[in-house]
Amino acid sequence: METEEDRLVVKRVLAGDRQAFAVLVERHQGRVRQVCLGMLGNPAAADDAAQEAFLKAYRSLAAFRGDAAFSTWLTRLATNHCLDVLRAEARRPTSSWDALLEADGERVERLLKGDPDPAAAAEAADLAGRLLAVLPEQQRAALLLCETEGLSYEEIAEALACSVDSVKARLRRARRTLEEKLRHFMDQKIV
Amino acid sequence: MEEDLDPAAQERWSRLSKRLFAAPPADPAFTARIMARIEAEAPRGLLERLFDSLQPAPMFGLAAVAAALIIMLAGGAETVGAEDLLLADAGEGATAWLASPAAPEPDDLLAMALERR
Repeated sequence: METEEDRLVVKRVLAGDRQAFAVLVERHQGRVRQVCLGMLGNPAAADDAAQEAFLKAYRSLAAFRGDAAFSTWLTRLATNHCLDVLRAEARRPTSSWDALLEADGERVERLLKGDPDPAAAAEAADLAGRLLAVLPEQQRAALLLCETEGLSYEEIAEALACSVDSVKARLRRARRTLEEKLRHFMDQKIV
Repeated sequence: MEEDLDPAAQERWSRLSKRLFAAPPADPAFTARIMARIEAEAPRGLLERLFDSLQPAPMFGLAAVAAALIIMLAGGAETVGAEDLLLADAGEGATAWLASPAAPEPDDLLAMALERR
């Protein structure tokens, strides 16, 4: 099980094998980068945030108790780091939905149809991140924790320091917004 | 988790979420940057600093390094060159001493250390 292997790698790192941390970075960077891109919407800022999230994880590795999966702990850390970045910079979405869909309509269509070209994967992730980043930040955070880690309402509420009802409301609004805005592309037979 | 969506909405959401939440492929350069930061921030012990500084002088080998450290640990005013230099300036001084004509051969260093013990 990958989760069990993560715990063993964590043990090795804590025993002094710094290089073992590279295994965790390699294994989880895709998800962390996706979360950061979804939260911040800007690839450069997302890359910085993802790096900082991993460094924070390394520095506080002794605090990982193992009661949740390492990937969950890491994703929560990355999400909260991004929320701190957004608060510190009082950042607002860099583009409106309409502007984004107008500028990148064809790419959105390819994204939602699932371009099989592996070379398009990075571009797709970038575009998906920018779509998600147009949502209000608390909705974004709840949705990313739900969709990338499969956390329960209670776990998301704990991670974001809010009530379960707030989590449900945020998820509902986020999904409704995405479906409404992307309905045109979805009606064109997403596989 | 999706219990508040009706089946049709759940199906639509499932298709959409697969596209929106797919993780990008792993990037080796990203991993390398993280590990470089970790290494740069790691505290360096005396032994690690000594090895790092002796890298340009491979001819001395690990035997010379080990011998110099044994001498330092064993103590002795007669070998003040090794001890003081290693304690005061682990890298540069030890390199300079080992490179000097006055420095014994590695085998002699070891013999001296064992004698002192």
